[in-house]
Amino acid sequence: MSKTEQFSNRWGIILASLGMAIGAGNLWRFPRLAGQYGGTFILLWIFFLFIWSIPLLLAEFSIGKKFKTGVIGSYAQLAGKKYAWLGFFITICTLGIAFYYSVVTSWALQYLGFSIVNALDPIFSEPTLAAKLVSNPAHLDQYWDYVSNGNWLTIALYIMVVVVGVFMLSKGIKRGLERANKILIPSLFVLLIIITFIALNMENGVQGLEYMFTINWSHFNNPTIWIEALSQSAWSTGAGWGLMMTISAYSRSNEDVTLNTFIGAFGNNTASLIAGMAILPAVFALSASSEEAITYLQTGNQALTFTVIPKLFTHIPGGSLLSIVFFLALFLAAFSSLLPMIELFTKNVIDLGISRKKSAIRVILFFIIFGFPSAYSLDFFSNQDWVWGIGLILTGLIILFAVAKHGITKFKKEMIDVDADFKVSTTYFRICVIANLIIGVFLIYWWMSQGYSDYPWFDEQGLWNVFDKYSNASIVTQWGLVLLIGFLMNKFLYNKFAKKEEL
Amino acid sequence: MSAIAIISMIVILTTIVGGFIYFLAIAIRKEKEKSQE
Repeated sequence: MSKTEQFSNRWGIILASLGMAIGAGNLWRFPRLAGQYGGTFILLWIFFLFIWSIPLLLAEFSIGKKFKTGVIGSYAQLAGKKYAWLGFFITICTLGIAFYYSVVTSWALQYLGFSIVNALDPIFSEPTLAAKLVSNPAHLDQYWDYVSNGNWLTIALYIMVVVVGVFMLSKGIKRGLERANKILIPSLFVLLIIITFIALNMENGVQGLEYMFTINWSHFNNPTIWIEALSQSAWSTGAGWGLMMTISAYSRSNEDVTLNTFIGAFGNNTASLIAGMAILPAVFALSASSEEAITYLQTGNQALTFTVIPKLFTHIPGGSLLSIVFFLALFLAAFSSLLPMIELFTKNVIDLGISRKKSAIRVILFFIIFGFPSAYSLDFFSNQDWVWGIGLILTGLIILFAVAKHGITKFKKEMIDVDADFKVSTTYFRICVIANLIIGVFLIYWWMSQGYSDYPWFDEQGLWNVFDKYSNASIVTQWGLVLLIGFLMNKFLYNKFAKKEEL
Repeated sequence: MSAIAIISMIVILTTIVGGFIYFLAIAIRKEKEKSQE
């Protein structure tokens, strides 16, 4: 994608932002968290859509539209030459997610293959998935363990996904992506609605809907739910990642920031709700009792989507074909979200003066080296999901800091409201930016002070607990290292990424 | 389903899905106006 390329019209960038946002976050992460925390989580997740994600997406969209360069360069031009290291942190945080996100994409691909094999089994007189589940009810759980821990096929597919993604981007993905999204996004919505109807029509399916929307007021006292709701809103909409900044760098110069952002954000949350309304009722329908369903959901199992959906489809006629379509949709949704993540990194490498073709090899090697541990170990994967998922609170604060430094009202009028068909009130934007700076700092402090009893700051030997997957010490160490490296390289980062753009 | 679950479901779906349709409708109208100009 050359710097001069642009999306052909409003729908091109809306579909690209929906493609970026609608992915594994909706079909895999949201149902897991909604299942873990219920309606309280959903209310907080909507609260953070308005307060956190929309203002951030507005800011990112307008920054990318104005500066039309990579995240480090754009950020440094807005915030000033002392702050290129903060743009570096945003880039590394998103890369941290991209490495394990590629693994989720490879899981979806592996389950697509699994569904195809299951559909073909009767042709070769092999037992069907339904028959396998009768003889071994743990069949799908065992397959999940096989896929997610030390599986070389997962690693091979992971590498393939990255290579294909980089290859597509190296050829100029804009037209391909724009065209593909026109088919993919509506198809995904239709498919999710069909699955929801199937799940709700199964016996006990409605109990899942009740569980999903029941609000437990005592949950509001739990800091984990607040943090998970914020990080899920950011994770799913792409707020604070720098991805919208990257996509909007290819927007038309008169693109409408506000309306496009609202469509992307609400469209993404709609897809999440539909996915939740498909998967949670399915869990209740397939469990022996409500208690069993709730116990299963509250473990926050990473495997939820991967173990429930194939089982759901064994209960309906033509289910093996629907299973193929579902995992194809999941794979394509995840893949369309992965492309902007790869592009974010590629664009920064290109900003260093390396050609797109040469940068492609570096990007592939980088992904293979740093993504390998997540592809190999589910514990490492969970650690990275925790560290960089929470990191999105910090990256959001970093972007808001640049907006506040520029002047909130000035930023809103000069960068967001220009060419707008639809405007939000400046007071709303101002309140959100200020409130978020307070909420973000407070949530990080809250989480730090509460800690997690199972994963303390220091282990039994009194050592810094850096290797526990959900320990605070692990997060502080990884964030601290990236911030320190960025800070030490600030002058270099500014000169390489931002200074030349100003000339 | 309990009353609280039904009310919360209606409010949540109306806000999010309704919002999505509303903003999409504005964009379609604006694009239509621009193409007619």
